[in-house]
Amino acid sequence: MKKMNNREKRNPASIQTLVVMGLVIGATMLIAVMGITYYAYNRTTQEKKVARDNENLCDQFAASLEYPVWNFDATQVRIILESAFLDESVAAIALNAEQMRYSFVSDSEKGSRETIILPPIGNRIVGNRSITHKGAPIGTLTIYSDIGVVLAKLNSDLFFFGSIIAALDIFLIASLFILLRVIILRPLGVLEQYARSYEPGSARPPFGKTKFFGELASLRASIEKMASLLEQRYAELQRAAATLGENRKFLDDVVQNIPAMIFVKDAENLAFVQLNKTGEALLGYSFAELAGKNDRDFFPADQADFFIRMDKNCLAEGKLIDIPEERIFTKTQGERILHTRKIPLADTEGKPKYLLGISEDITEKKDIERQLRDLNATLEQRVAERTAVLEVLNKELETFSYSVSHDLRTPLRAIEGFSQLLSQEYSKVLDSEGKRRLNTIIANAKKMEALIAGLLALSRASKGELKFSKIDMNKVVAELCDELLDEKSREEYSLIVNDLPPAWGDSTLIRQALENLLSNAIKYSGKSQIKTIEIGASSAQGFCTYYIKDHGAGFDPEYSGKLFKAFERLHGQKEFEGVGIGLAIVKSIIARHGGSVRAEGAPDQGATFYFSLPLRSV
Amino acid sequence: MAISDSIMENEVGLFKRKSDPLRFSDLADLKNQNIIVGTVAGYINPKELYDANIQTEQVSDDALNMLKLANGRIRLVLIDKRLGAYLAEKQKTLDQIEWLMTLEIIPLRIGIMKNSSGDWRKRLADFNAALLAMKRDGTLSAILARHGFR
Repeated sequence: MKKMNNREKRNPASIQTLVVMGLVIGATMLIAVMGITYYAYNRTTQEKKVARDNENLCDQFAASLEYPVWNFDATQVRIILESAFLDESVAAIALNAEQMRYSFVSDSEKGSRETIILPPIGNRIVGNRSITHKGAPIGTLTIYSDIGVVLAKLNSDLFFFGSIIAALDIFLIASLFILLRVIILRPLGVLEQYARSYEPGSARPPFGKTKFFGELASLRASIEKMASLLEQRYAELQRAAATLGENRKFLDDVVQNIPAMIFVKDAENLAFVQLNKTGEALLGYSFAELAGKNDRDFFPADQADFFIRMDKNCLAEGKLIDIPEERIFTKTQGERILHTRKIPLADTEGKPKYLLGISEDITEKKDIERQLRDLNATLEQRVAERTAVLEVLNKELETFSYSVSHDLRTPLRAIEGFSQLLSQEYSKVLDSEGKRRLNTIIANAKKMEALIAGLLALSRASKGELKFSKIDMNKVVAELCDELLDEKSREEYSLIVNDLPPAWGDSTLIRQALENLLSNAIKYSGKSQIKTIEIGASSAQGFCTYYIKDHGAGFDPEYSGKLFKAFERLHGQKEFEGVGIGLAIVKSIIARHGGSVRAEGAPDQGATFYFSLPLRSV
Repeated sequence: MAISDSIMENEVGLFKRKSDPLRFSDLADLKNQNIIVGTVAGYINPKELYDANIQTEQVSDDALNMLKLANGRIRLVLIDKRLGAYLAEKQKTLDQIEWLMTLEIIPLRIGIMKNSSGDWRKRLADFNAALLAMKRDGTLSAILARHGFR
């Protein structure tokens, strides 16, 4: 930590050093490049100038020397040749003509001196010109220009200007450094100090009087904003930590108080690292006793081996394993039976780290199950016996009912038949009172015939073996509509038949139930303005419910309980004909199919009858 | 200025190279042949030369003209005969040149400034008297001969 602090403290100084080095290197390189460029440019320029001057001098002196050479005017020739040294770049000049051979070299004291042999001239430019007179060559002029003279001056200039630029460079570096220090380095140091000493939750360090410019001002504002955000996040984090602590405590409480043993083992040693209170109570050991130890330290060897084998299986498979029943020998409660689920808990890399175990003590449950099994064994026998008795009784009752109904019809038909004969053959003998009483006998006989027919129908609906098959309800309803409505009625009634799912049942009986309901709807709509009957179905919760809705006479819901009872009627005979057996038959048929019936309605507002049948994949 | 009697005479004319086959009838013929005559700047040349409008080439002194003549740069040199011979001898070219023709004879005299100190008339008279005496006794001729004048 101390080293880090030292390193942190050195950082601003390092930036300053880097800046100074950068400035020095940059400025020096700039000066070097400028100097080299200046020197190279001037050298090239001067060399070109010297060459150009040499050419011009050759031209001028060749022209000037024409007549002196032609005239053999040595004096004039000498004067002219020596005058060439007025140009400081001229190192030597030579004339080669008839009767005239002269060579002069530059002399630092006299300006020039005549020589016989020209000394070597190092960095020179040589210009030659032929001296002509009227087109004829009369001599040759050679001028040697020395670049060294120019270069010496150039070097002198370079040194002079280099010194000035170096001074400017130092001034520039110093100015830039001061400027950078004021504008960047000092504010940067303050920002660094601020960032280093800033701690969320404590007072923010001051920025002092340092001025910030441009992007650094923006950076300072951003850092302050970031500090504010950090404080907010810190506060949120503290709140979250508090909430997390509460949640952890809550979760711990939940785990501790769950009425099942919850334990956690580490995956490597299968040693206990967690055990809840229920577990402590069940095993008779506190978590402190179990912590860091495994099953072999507490349980019989065979049980411990089983537990460990299951643990390893769970960790190896990486998924929950369910042990419906395992026995464990506890410290205080002896042997108990557990239903245990073991779940592997992985680390962030997906490797098993812990093993979570949840064990439910099912010792009492297993006892009850055993008792129930014993009880069920006797109960089923008793139920079978009772059922057999009931089946016999029911059969006898049905036989009796059918026999009575069937046997009653013969004398009743005799009564009705002989009454009819009496009415037809002895009508002249009977007075009006006799005729009325005879008609009453006939009417009651017919009514009784109807009642007996109803009883027979109810009896048929209630007995006999059901022959299940798939029933096309759409087809059945269409056939019934044709049967129940004649041409005239079809014009009066409006039938809305929605798509009906097929049913599974005894087709004869289901058709009978539908016929009863549909004929009721037609009958009770006969006196209504609206003669619309709607038939539909819907499926829910394993049942398909069919309904027949009309807008006819309806019924008082208070008496809806009587609707499905035999011979119970909510309307008078004169109002609507019938014996009150149709809905009882419907209820009996539907009940035999495992379904139910119900009705909704109100007086003069129509009625809706529902019957539900169990769904089956037909 | 007062002028003395003639001391001697200058014979002004033209020198040529012996090897030069120059032929001409008169000065006009020289002109026609585009012959250039070497002269000295500042000298008063014979009137005939000017009249003939002959092309001249001037140098700064007579020696250069003699040198040019000897080296073939000019074909004729206008010069005092004695001076020309003297210079050619000095330049060791006397055997290469020859006198072509005389254009003018000019007497040589001395001049005495009249406004100078002393009596200019007496001086002039004394000089003339002494000159005459030297001519008569041969002294002048001896002096001239001693200096190469024949």
